[in-house]
Amino acid sequence: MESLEPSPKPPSAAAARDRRSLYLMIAMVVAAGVAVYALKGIDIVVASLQADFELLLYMIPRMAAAVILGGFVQAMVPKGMIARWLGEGAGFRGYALATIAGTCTPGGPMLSFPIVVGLRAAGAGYPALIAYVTAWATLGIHRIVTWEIPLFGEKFALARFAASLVFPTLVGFATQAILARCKQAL
Amino acid sequence: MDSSIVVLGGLAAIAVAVAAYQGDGRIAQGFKASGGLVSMMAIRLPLGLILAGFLGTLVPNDAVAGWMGDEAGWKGILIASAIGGFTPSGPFVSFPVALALHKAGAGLPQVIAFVTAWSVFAFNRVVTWEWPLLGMRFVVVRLLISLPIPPLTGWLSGLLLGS
Repeated sequence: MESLEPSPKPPSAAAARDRRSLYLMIAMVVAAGVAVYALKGIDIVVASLQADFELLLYMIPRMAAAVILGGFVQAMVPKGMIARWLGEGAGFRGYALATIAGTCTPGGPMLSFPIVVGLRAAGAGYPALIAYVTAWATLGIHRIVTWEIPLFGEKFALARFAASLVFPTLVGFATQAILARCKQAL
Repeated sequence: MDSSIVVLGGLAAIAVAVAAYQGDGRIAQGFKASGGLVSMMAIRLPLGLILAGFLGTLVPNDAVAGWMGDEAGWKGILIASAIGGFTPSGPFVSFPVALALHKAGAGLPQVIAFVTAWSVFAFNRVVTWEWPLLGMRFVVVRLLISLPIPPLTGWLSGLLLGS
């Protein structure tokens, strides 16, 4: 089904880019592994891999839930609606909506990034997606309640939240402006 | 069992229930889209984890607080922003590091620039999640556009706090 393709690009170009990025990742993993081996020795390499494996075991059940959520959001929300509200050139309304959604998304990257992938597949553009990620990172209520208020208190949290408030929307407009300029140049 | 799995599982269950209520093959479409996500993440996520783990051992967290020193003003804000972006870890390390910085004498604007840079750039998260799932182009565009955010947030919150 066309609307469920993970990328709006033609499949061949997207697949080639995906493959290139996968090769690049593998090369970086090998290079980083060699660097850790050379600088810290084999024990640290093994310890790092063990920690990764434990983290993966911890993540798998959470990922399963996040992936189901991401997939169902993608399937249930009408594609036209996402494209109209969050598509390229969404404008202030779209970036404000993305900001509110990002602020309210609970949990870590396990949930937010599958949601971003789902929204992109459903027709959301870079400006709204980047506004969403920025809002989730800077305004996320979950992190403020779990970490910031207990460690730094309300005054700190409130000042940081207020100072961060405008940036997700600004980032949406900046992304839109840069993409428009890139397209003109092409 | 901790809260993250309860929240995630609950949200997933709600999504499936809504799809069932909508009918019209939505459940099948939902699982098909989920399958697409799984096939994309199956190789990339473990690779990202391994890479983040290796990079994390190469950048010592203990040194982070030392590098920041007690530079005040804009210079301190810029240094804090740069270091925050390269602090490789989750909130369970970055927030205690931020607290240690504050106790060691760093001003609140600097600490806020550090926390913001960590949360916006989080190179650990970029390597594990953003690059594998969304591609290099998305990452480059987002990071370039976000460069001014941490120093500006530090400066603005300094104004708000009157320090």
